[in-house]
Amino acid sequence: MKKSLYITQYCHIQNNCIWINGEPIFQEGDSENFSSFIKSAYKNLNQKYAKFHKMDPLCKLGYIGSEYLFQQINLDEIDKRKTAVYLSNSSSSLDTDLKHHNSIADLENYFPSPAIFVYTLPNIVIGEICIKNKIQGENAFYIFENFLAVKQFEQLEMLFNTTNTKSCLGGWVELLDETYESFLYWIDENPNGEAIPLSADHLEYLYTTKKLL
Amino acid sequence: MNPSTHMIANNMISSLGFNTEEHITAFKESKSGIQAYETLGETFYVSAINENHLKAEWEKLQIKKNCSKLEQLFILSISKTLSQTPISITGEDSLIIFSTTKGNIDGLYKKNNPMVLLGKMANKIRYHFKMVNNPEVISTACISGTLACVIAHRYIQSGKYKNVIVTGGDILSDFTLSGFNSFKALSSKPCKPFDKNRTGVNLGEGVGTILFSSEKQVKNNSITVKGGASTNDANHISGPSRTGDGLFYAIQESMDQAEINADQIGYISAHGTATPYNDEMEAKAFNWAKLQDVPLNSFKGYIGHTLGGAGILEAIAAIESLERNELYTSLGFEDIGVSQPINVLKAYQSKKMNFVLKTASGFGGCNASIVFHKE
Repeated sequence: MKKSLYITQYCHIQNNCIWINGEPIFQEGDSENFSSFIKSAYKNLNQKYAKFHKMDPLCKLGYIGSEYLFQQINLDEIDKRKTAVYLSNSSSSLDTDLKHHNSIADLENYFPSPAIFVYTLPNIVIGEICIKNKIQGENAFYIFENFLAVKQFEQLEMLFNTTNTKSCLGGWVELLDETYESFLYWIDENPNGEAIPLSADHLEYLYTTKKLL
Repeated sequence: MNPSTHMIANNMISSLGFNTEEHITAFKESKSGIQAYETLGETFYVSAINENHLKAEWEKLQIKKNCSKLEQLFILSISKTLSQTPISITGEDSLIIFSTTKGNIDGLYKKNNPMVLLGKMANKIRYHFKMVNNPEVISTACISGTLACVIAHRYIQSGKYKNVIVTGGDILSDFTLSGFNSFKALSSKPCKPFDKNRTGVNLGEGVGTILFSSEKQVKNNSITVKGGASTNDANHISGPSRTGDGLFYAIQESMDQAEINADQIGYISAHGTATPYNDEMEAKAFNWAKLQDVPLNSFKGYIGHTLGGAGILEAIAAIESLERNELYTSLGFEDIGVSQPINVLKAYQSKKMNFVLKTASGFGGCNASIVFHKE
C-alpha cells in the first residue's frame, strides 16, 4: 500500500521576497539585485556561517530557502540518515558554468579557479544544505526543461515507497543571472504543520499561486 | 510481490570502442584507451573517442538532424541498445533517465545556445526516439550514472514503469580539464587507482546505456537489480568524508535491500578515481562494510573518469563480469596505497558469482551504491 505523505511547510523566494507557507516574511526593495537581496536575507537570519559567503548564487538561493524553511521544523527530532534532499531546476549550474567558461575561453587571459569550478555542478547546493544540517539520506539533483509538478510528485512517491526515507526537503531552485526562483517544501509521513496531502495538483497549486502574486 | 528489475540490453561507447564486446575484449587484454592529449598549452592523459570512428558510426544511422557530439553519442548508444531487443519504449509504460554532469558543455562557445540546457538536450533525444513521457536528467556529480540505475530500479519495483532506459555520458572538454587541473586533481601519467604512487584522475569521455524492464525477454536475461541507495557525507563539498561513513551507509542500505551479507558479494566495481583522498575513503568504507577481502577493481585505468557516463559504463562492466564469471585487472595498480587492506585485482581471473556491488562517490559529498544479482 502506498504511504500517505504531507507537505508540512513550504517556502518561496522570488522578486526579492521570501514567503513561508504563503505568508511574506522578508522583503527587500525591487531595485536591489540578487546578490544584495540574498545577503540581506542572510543577515536577517542572524547566523554566523562563514561558508555562506563562499557559495555561488545558486547555492545561496537554495541555502537561504532551506534555512528559512528549517525555522519551522525541529530538525533535532528527525532521523537525519533517513532524510532526503531532492532538488531540481532547469538551468543546472549554468550561471557559474559561464563564469568558469569565461575564465578559460581566452588563453591570453586564463585563470580557472577551483573555488569557482566546484560550483559547476548543480548538486553542490544539496551538499551545502546537508553539511549545514548534517543530513545524510538520499540525494538527487534533477534537471527538467520546466517546473513539472507531476514529475516531482512521482519522484517523491517513489522515494518514500521504495527507500527508508522518512522526511524530505524537496523543490525547485532555479537561478540564471538575475532571474531566480526557489520553491522548497518539506515532506513528512506525519500530517504536521500545514498538512497538505502530497499530490501533483497540490504541488502545482502551491508553485503557481505564488507566481501570480 | 514487487516486479523484478531485469537488465535486458546494454551498450558502451568510449575510447575502447562502440559496443560492449569491444570493451570486454580490451578489459581481458588489459588494454587501456588512455593517451596523451594536447590542449590549453599542456599535455594531459585522457581517454578520448576516435573522431573518425564516431563519424563513420553516425553516418551509418543516416540521421538528418543537426546533433552535437554528445547527442550523437547518446543516439548511437540508445539505438545500439534497442537494436538488441524487441521491446518498444514509445509507450506510457516507458521512461528515459539521462545521467550527465555537463551535457553539451562545448556549446558554451556559441552565445545563448539553448542546447547547453540539459533538459532541452534530453527532450531532443527523447523526441528522436518518440517517447511519450518527460525525460529525467540526473545531474548529481559523479554518482549520476549509478544513481540513474538505482532510480530506474525503484520505478520498476514500484510498478510505475515497465521499461526504463538509462543513458549517461559526458564529453572531454577544456571546461572540465581546466577545472580538474585547477584542483590539482589530474594525473600527469596514466592513472593508478588504489596504488601507492597514484597522483590523480585521467578524464575520459563516453556514453553507456542500459535497458531495464520488469519483464524478462529471453532466457539469458539473468541479471537483476536487488538494491540501491544514495547518501550524503554532510562533510565537505569538494573532499570525501575522512571516515567513509556516507559510502558505508549507501553500501549497507543496498545490501539490506538485497537481503544479503558482505560474504555473498563476489566482486566490487569501485569508483577508484586515483586521487589520494577518494581511494583512501573508499578503502575505509569497504572495510567498515566488511568487504575488504572481496576482489575489486576500478575501470578508470581503461577509460578514465567519464563523469556522467562513469556510473553506467562501470555498472555495465560489472554486470558483464557477473554474467561471464570474469574479473578484470584493475589497470595501473601495483602496490597497495591505502591505509586499510582491500583486495585489488592484479590479474584477470574467473570466478563464479551471484552478487556484485557497484559504488560511486562525488563532489557535493554524494555517494551511491547498487547490487546486481545473477539468477
